[in-house]
Amino acid sequence: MSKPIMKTTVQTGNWVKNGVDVTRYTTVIALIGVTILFSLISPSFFTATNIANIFSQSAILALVAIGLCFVVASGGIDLSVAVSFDLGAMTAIMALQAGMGWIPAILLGLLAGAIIGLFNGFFVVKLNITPFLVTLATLFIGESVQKIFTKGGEPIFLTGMDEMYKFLGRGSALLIYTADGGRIDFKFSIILAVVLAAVAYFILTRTIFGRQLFALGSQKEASYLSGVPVKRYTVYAFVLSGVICAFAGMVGSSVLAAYTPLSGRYYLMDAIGAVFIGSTLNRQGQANISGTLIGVLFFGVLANGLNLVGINFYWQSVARGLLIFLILGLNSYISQKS
Amino acid sequence: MLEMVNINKSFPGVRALQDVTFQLRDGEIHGLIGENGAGKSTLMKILAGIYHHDHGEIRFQGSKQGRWTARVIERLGIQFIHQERHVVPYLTVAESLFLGIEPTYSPLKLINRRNLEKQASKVLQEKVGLVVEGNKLVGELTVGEQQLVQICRALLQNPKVIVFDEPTAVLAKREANRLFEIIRELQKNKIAIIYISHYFGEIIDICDRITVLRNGQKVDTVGIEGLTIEDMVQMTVGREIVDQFSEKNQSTDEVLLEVKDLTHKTDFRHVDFSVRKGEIVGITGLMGSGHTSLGMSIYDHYGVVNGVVQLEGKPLGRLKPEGAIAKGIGYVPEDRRNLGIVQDLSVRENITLASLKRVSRGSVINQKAEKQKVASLIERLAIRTPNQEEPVNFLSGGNQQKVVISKWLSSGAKLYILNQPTAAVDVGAKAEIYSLIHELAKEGAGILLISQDLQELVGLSNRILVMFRGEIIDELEGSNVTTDQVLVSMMGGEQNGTDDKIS
Repeated sequence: MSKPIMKTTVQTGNWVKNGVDVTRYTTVIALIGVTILFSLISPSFFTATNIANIFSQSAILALVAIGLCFVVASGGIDLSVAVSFDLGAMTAIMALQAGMGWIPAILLGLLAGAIIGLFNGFFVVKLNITPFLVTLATLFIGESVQKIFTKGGEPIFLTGMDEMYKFLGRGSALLIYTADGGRIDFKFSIILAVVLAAVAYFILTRTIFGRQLFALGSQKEASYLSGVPVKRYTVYAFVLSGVICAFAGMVGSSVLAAYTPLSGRYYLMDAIGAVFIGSTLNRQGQANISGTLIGVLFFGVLANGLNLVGINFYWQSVARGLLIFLILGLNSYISQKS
Repeated sequence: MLEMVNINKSFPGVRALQDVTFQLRDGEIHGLIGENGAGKSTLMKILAGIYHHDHGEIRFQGSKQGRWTARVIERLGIQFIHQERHVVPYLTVAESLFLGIEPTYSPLKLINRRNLEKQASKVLQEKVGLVVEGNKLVGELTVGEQQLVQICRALLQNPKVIVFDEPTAVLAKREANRLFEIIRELQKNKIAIIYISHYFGEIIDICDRITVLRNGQKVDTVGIEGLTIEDMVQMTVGREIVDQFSEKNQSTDEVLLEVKDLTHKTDFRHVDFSVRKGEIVGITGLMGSGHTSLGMSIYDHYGVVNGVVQLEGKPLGRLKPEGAIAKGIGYVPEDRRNLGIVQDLSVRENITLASLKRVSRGSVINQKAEKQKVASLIERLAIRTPNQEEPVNFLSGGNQQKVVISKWLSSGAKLYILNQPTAAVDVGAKAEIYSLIHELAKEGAGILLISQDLQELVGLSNRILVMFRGEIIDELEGSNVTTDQVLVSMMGGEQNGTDDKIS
């Protein structure tokens, strides 16, 4: 009898000893956990149709979170992703409305994001104001400008949207009709998110810029003394964030065939949450793409699952909050024990 | 009256204090001397309750004290006048004088501001002879006046012992003389004084006895009568034969670095010197002499208001570190933990941080080339790390320093500016770093060695420049320079020092 018990203790010992590794995957374990839970409660949760839904619904959040990753890697935060999101959509929709083609419309939208990023970067670097306050100010201004511009938040609907632009958000990458009349629809936006994630992953892990971005995010002064162009790279991070989030906004506007003012703010907190939950997967707690995607999926699964299970909409955020407490609490409990 | 018996204290990798016994008699002025890193500050931090000793005991007026906490220390009447003045510049004189010990009235413990200011002004004049309005901001006072406020604050708490930690380092001569008068006055009032200073001349003037520390051990406690500066130098530096330095290289005639009339807005002026290829040039001075900020200014030009820096005959201009590195300069900062390494990055990422272009195609890092390069540097410098991916903050101080130096080997530096390269490095790693510096010079690199460690300076340098209050006052050359000579030269300025102060 004593032997297996001994074995278990030794195993637990090792687990705790390598506790760093265990805690790094708490989020993954939690993701799998809630997936199993929802599958047990709702028969329609773990079906191809629904999984395609979850991925499609998560694509836009994934784009925003990837953009945010660059700024968080540089040691900052970007609250104005919401504004880049909105103004990107607004610019592109208005360009389309004015009769421009989809390519110039998208380019103008990206430019709007780049300008917001430059604006943030300028204040952070030149005036040495913390990113939190700079981007908070940008958020205030950007949201107000939209209200003024749309006379209180009227959406701008677009009739006869350019087919290519429409494809961004509404096109399908893989569409299967099942025998019983079901629809398995993997949206094209999933491919956009995956490609962008791959590019961002490459930039952050394999290029000089990415490496030095993490260095300055960790210790600015030491990085400066090692020749890292701290100011330039900080600005780059904000510009990338602005551009990527503007693109996310355009994908969003394509889904709705409209520019809906202030819709970026619905992604803001989830994106921040995804990036920081994702950073718990990294040994040094740095922002990283793969972790961020896990975080995005976590929110996607929760939103979808809670709906299917029939939790009242008002209670859904309570459930999300409690789960985050639970995961991170467990995480810290395990790592403190080791 | 105060005894610290057989005090031991270790930090990871360093034995800071070893069986140190320190006895303070009633009403004496007791000097505490030793090189940087000899254990003076550690001993005083234990006395202040900031560190706790591993072994040994502290007795006060004959009775053994158990827990040596801040509260006990305050109750017993031990006060500290710190080297880094803990003043908040936006408080008024009255506020900082009475902070935490404000005289209050009524059961509600109210403070009368006007009254407080009046009282402050009165007390300051009575106790330390400082005439100042109580509502003036501390930031508006001179450093010397701030110190007087601090001393007065200590006196208000009826002290029995006052510790002065390098009180004159930032004072002008006139202010220093006033301080000595006050200290002698305190002695008359039966207050015992512990006086820490690098200025041996002062020590002879005001102390009754001295205790000398070296490498964490007590050398001796002796009366001051008949002691000369040379005796004190000999006791602090010791006479051990040092064989960790190999024979010096012959430097070449080719000039690598030329500094002309370099002037900083506050720290140094009119600095001229050159470093040849293969030459190790040492720069030293007392704390605050400008030698540490000189190294940084050559590297990133911060705070420089005048003068030229040339590398291989070409002026560097106002380069940021990025440009300086490209031209072949490597800088090892004094504050290794915050400025030398990037703590969250791995050993590999730290080593190649300044030379990523050399292991990249375009802007994409060639991981194989990077790993090979790092592996060869880890081997060459004998960096003790489990693997390349180890977070650098898990390494010992000495190995972290080797990582910092290998960063510049990796970038192919021609000139190394080393600021206190062996500070808080254990003895073994120290010797390895010395032989590495030696080797680099042999390969033709120029080395600017900024150091307070005199043995290291004398052991490594071809030439030693001595700075005092922001200027180079002496140059010692040749193989028979001794640490005594350097120390006397460092102090030497003090005898004919001016009344200016550098702060």
